[in-house]
Amino acid sequence: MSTTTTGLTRAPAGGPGKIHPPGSTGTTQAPSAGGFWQRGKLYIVLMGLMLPSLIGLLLFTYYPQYGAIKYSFFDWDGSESREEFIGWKNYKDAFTVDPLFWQSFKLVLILLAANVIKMWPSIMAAIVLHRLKSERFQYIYRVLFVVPMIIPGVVSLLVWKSFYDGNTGALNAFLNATGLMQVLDWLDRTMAGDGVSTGVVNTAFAKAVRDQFEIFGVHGIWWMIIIGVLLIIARMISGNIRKHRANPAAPFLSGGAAVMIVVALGLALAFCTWPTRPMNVFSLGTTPWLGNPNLIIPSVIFWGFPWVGTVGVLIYLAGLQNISTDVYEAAELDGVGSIGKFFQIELPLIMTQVRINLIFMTIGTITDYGFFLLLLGPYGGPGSKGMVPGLYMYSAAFIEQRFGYACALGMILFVILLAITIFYQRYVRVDK
Amino acid sequence: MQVFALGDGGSVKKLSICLILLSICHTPALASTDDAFAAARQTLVELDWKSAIRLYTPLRDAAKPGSKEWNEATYCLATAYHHVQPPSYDTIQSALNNYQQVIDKASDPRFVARAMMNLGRVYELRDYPEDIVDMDKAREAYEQVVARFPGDPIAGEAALRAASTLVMAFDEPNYEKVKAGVAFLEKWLADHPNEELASVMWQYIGDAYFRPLQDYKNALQAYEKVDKLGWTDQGNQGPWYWRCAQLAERFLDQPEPEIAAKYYAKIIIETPNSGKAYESMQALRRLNKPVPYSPLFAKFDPTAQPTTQEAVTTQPATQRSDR
Amino acid sequence: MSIDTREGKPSRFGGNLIGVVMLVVAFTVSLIVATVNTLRIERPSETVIRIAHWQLEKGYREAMQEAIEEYQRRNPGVKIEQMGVTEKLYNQWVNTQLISGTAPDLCEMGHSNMLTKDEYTVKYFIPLSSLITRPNPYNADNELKDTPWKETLLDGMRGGFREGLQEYYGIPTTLISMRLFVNRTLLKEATGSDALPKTFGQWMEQCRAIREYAKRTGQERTMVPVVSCYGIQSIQGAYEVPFTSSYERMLDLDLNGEVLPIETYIGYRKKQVTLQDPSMQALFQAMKTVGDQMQLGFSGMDRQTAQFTFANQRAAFLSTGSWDASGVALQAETAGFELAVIQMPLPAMDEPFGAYIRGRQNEASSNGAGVYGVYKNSRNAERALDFLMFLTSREGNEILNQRSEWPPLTIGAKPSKLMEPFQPDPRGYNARVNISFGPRVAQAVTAEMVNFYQGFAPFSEFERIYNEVIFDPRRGGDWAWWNEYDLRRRDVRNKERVLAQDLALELINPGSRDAGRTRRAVLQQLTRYNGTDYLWLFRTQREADPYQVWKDFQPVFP
Repeated sequence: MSTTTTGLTRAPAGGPGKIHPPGSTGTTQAPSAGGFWQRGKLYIVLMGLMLPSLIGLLLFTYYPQYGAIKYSFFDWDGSESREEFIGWKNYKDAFTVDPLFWQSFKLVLILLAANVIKMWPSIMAAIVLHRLKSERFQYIYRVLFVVPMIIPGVVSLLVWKSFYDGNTGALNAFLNATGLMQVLDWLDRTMAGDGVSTGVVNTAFAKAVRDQFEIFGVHGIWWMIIIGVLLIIARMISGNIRKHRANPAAPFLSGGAAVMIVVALGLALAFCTWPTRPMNVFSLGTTPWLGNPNLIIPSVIFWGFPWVGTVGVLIYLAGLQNISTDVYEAAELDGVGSIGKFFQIELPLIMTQVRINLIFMTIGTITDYGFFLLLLGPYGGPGSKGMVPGLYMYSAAFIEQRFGYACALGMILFVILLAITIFYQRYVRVDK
Repeated sequence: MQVFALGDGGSVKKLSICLILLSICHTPALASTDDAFAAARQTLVELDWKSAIRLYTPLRDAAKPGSKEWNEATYCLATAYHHVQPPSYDTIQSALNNYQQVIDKASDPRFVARAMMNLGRVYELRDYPEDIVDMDKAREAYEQVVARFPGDPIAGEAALRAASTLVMAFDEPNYEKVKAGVAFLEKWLADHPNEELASVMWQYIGDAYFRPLQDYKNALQAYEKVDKLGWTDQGNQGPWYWRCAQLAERFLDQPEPEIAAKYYAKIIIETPNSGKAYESMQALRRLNKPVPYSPLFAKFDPTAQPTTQEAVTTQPATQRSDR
Repeated sequence: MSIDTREGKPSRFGGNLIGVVMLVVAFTVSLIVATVNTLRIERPSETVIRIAHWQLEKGYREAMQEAIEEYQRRNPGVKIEQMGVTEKLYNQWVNTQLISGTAPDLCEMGHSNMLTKDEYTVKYFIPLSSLITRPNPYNADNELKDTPWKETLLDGMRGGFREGLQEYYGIPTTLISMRLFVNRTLLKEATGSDALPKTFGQWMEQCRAIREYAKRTGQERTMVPVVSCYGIQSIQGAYEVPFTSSYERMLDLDLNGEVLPIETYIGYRKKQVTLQDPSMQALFQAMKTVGDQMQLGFSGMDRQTAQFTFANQRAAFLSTGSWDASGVALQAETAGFELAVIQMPLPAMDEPFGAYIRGRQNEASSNGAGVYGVYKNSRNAERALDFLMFLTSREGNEILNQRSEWPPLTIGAKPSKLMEPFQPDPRGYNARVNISFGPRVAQAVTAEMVNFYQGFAPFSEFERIYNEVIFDPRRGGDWAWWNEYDLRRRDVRNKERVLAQDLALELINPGSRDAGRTRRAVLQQLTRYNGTDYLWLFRTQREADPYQVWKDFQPVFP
């Protein structure tokens, strides 16, 4: 039996699974005592070099995680004076007596759907940058994308907050100057009715959509749309549609599905989130974007427009730059146009990056609380409309002093995230 | 650096564990038994029960049962197990075992009395989630302290605790246990005129008469006795003064305006920060009694309706130029 | 050594070398600074006291420095070093210092678990109960000379008391209170008179005049009459007592002079108090009237924006606390408008809502702030305490608070002119109806009530949601009741630690026990009845068996 002689290899004669350090022969010969000693010394040195990082990792990364798991089974108020083991009670409470926690997922699902859409501008921007002919301009744009990264997140948050300010904010100034505020005012009255007429969201059809059925406090139509969107995205991304692209009906089928989803989303958004009474907040021209409960979710979704994230763009760009020019040349010979290149070359080949960003975005959306805390306070603003699971967990810990319970909520979030990540790994396929 | 991220209790605990581990590795040999005892006592001062267990265990093992050192080490070890966090069945069992050893073997009766008393506390309080509260057993322990050590100052507290196990029953509708507890304490006080905890006992009796027995006359009488003896929680007796005044003015069959006025005046003089001084002034005027002086009100006219007071204006520019 | 990629050869002055040099220089400088500091602390000829705080507001450090200089002048050979640390970093910084045994002699208590939780406080700070009963020698030349130190402060030193430990672990140095700031210049421009509002009705009239003025001058979209740094809750805080203190006679079951949230809940269940009661409605409607004079959707406005709006003369009234006063005064000076400070005006008898007003909320029971504790490992603890005595003497407290423009805490200490309106007014009432019983109900009240005040939902909507939450056995009043019971029970158990410690130390060293502390702890344990009084209340006040209602929430019920 022969083995390779480079790197870390397995040596059958030395026993299955034995590891050879780089440079050793890895043959069937028994190692001499001196060689063993030499290798032992090397291992000690290597282990010694690894030790600080290992200790740091265990102490500062894994120990707190262990602490979270442990305390999720405790009635713990953050101090030593109240630390009692209570078994699964925290988990039981989360599932049985705490509807607010599950209601907070409604907002997360909306934000997840919105964030999937908000990923596209970054992909587009990366492709535009990648296709720039002038290397000098490409460099300048890359630098311009990096510069905002040095601005602290809190600063950009405060800038955006002032942007939304009812009296002095730039958004209202823009809407007032362009006359769009009147359009919004008209929409407000038309959608909800002006008190005399019933309005669009008060029609029988809208009510039928809105009052379908409810699971965990989330309307059935939302469940259907969310599951449908995830499945179609998964199918599109996994390449199944690409396999059948020779079929002339395929683009129509996928396009039709997309249109249907968009229509369903639009209807659901309109009928489930648009208030059934007019908001009457546009006529004065001082719309309180973060003060009105009905405007909080749209404001949060619009946040960061045009949604070109610097890190995202650079990650996509790195992926794009790995695409060989041969592929483009071959595509050009085949007569593939710009849009074709995007769907058939660029998008499939940066799916690794898309998947990473998708996972980070999902984790960020589900666990984020700082943004909502700074923006809306610990209760998620008026009517708790901005309550997300992370913020709920925060208020359980720091407002109610139920740290043990907050740990249990954290563990539940962790399991949900794990499930979603596995889903992505399984269904978001990557073509090499 | 991560090491500075000590914001939450968990992180502090994390770092503390490291420090404890390091300290275990580097604890120099203590020079003598005296030093070892001094170090162990310091852990009690700091309420550091974990370290107390670590330091007292070898001292207990090394000492001869019944010796002065053994008494201290075993008693303190029991106390440390009793209060170490988080409490569990095992820690409480260790506490009970050690208290029992003190009761069985300690040469100093003071240690025995207090160990017995603490047994009662263990039975009375719920120490960990599955712990069973046993008031009868607790009372038995307290009564034993009273019976075996009548001359020890702890006997008074034991009597009070024994009575409280009855009062805490709140056994409506007849409140037989509550009444028995109150009667027990009243008898104790009659038999022990110099009881150190007399004020506490009368206050407790007053509270029991007030609620749940709703015997306001006896409640007020009990509080009057407290007032003569001196209130225990000095500075925070404002709510009790208010209660006494209300009982005297509003809840008795024959109102006692003099007593009410006395307590209203006490609120103004002794506890003006209780939040009730202004209302007490109003009450005294209502009762046609003199209103005592309070420096807290020196700058304000207490007779003025505070609803429409004059606003004060400042002109910062002038003020700053003055400085 | 780094590689010069252009030449392919090692670079003699590469980045790594620069890095090493910088590291060595930084290390050397740090070593020198640390050595010098250590030597200074250990220098026997000079006593060095370090005092740490997070009060970086305008004027505080200068005021503290002035007090320090005065103290040093009186005590030659003593040097006091002030260490101002930002509020965000204070927590981490002080924790590290405490653990490493190098904490300052005096630390402002707060922000960190190690400064607020009992188990750490007892480990790192000196108990002060036995030291505060003697007179403060720095008051020798005034009428407080024979008064115990504790009683020379307006709050009776309650700000430094630790309930769980039954000990004083800190000395408060200042007071805080909420007030209404008025831009008199704008008021005059808008209304033709700079007379300050004496009643709620006048205030609202002036607000309407300001709205009119804004419309006239084309500032309709940018100017509002009222802004608040802490939302409408801080304004409502000043009106709850005036409107609801009359309920005390009916709801105060334990006759302690307050209406506890649990007593409100009992009253609410029995319909002794409802949200539709005229006085409750008067409170809510009055607050709605104030809300109408604030920015549309004011809940989105934060502290900075509110201050900014007021400083830019786009609001005539600002509600905030004494800690912001000097900053606001400076802004007023810069912007060139005249500033006034008043208490929240109450409705007069002949005005709407006036019939429901009993009187103002008194401020006699407010606790002191700016609390400093003495570090246990301090080499000069006695001297550090002496400095605190000076800071809380009439003269020292005047220096500290006049210069920093905070309200003084020592009885008789003269405030700065700006602070005069912030002096606590002891006149008035203290009981209030508190409908936020338990964290979940508090969340519903905070999040839903604001919708009504902002005009985005009718009151009936708030009432519907409130009733839904308060009567939900899983998260409403009953759950909060159980929680209160549990807290009382735990509180008794926690106090047992202090008593056990006293007993053990007394056995070891007879006579060492603080008998007063023991008696206090025993009394407080007894009067909490291991929580069983709350069970009794539940049995007698609720028509349900608490065992049935609460069985899901607790594994074993005593």
